[in-house]
Amino acid sequence: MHIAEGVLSPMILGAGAVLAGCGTALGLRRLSEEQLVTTALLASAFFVASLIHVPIGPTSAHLILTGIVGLLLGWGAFPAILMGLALQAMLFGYGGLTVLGVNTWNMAFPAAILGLGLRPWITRGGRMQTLAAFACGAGSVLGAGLLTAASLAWTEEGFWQAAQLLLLAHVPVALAEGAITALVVAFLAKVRPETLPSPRR
Amino acid sequence: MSPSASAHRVNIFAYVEGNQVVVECSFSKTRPVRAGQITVYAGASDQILLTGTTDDAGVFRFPVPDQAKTTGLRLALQAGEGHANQWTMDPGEFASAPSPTPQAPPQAAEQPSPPDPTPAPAPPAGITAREVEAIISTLLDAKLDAKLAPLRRALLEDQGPRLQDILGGIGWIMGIIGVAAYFRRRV
Repeated sequence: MHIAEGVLSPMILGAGAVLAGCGTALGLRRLSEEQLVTTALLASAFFVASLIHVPIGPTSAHLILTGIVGLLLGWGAFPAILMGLALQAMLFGYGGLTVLGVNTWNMAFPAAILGLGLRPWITRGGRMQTLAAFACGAGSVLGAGLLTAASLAWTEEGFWQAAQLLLLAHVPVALAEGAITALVVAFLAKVRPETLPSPRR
Repeated sequence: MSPSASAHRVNIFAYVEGNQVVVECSFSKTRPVRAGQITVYAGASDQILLTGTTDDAGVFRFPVPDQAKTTGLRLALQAGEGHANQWTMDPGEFASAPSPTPQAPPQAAEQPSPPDPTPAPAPPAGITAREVEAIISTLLDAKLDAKLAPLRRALLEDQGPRLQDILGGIGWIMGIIGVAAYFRRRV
């Protein structure tokens, strides 16, 4: 899901940087002081998650964990994911600094929107909570795949080819992400209910 | 067709073997890039010399273009889904490649396919020292290319992120959050 350097046109790179910048600014404003530690933990988890390969069927895939980030942080997912991606680009060579904006937007936007939208069900508990957590985890992956394909639409690869490949490849990942998000939310609800978003926020 | 959900980045590596350029492409951890699009440019310019696709082993071979000795080559790989990378070759890398121009020793030009051509038949009596030198240097270069290629590949091989990088990254995140907490407190 990391788009490499030198693939996208300057226009898309610029648009991605502006959008990611707006999201990050909004996220930083919304982050409360108590959430800072959660942000650090989630950014670290996101930073490391892409190194952990989970064997699924014939291929293996790595988690991205953006669903949990979006669920717990809302717009705060932008600064957390931006931080993780910047360090991945500098230390591992994944993606790149010029595509940082586009990659951040592609991964953080679906997570933030779904996380905020599904909050009412997360706080309610019970079966709806599990379902909403699953939807957030799986939807964040598929949404990121769609946005990545959309960013590639103006390259010679074209939107449809990229979208088909990306979505096909990420369906198993989405299922795994959904299951893990549901497990994490169930665990947090039992052990640390205060980390889950409260209904009033 | 292999969907590459687990690919982070794609590697491209090229070397001269005889009078061919061999391009090897892989995703991290030695998975070959099948049907990757390769575009060969003349040096840093945008002039396209040729294009091709990699085979099932992630390899693409093409004869050394004439311009390579003056401009060098720039090889761009498009592996799909936003994966791309480049590899540049200096003009010096092609110095050893037998060129089609007449000053090259004919023995080397006649045997393009084997990686290390067998020694040429005993030189006729009238051969000059300069010609002997040219023949020997061509043979040596071909042998060295074949021997050095695996070494260069090993140097380039993607080991994946090291533990230091991972721990360092987590340290950075904690540090940034620490600074953020400090400034929030002060306000």
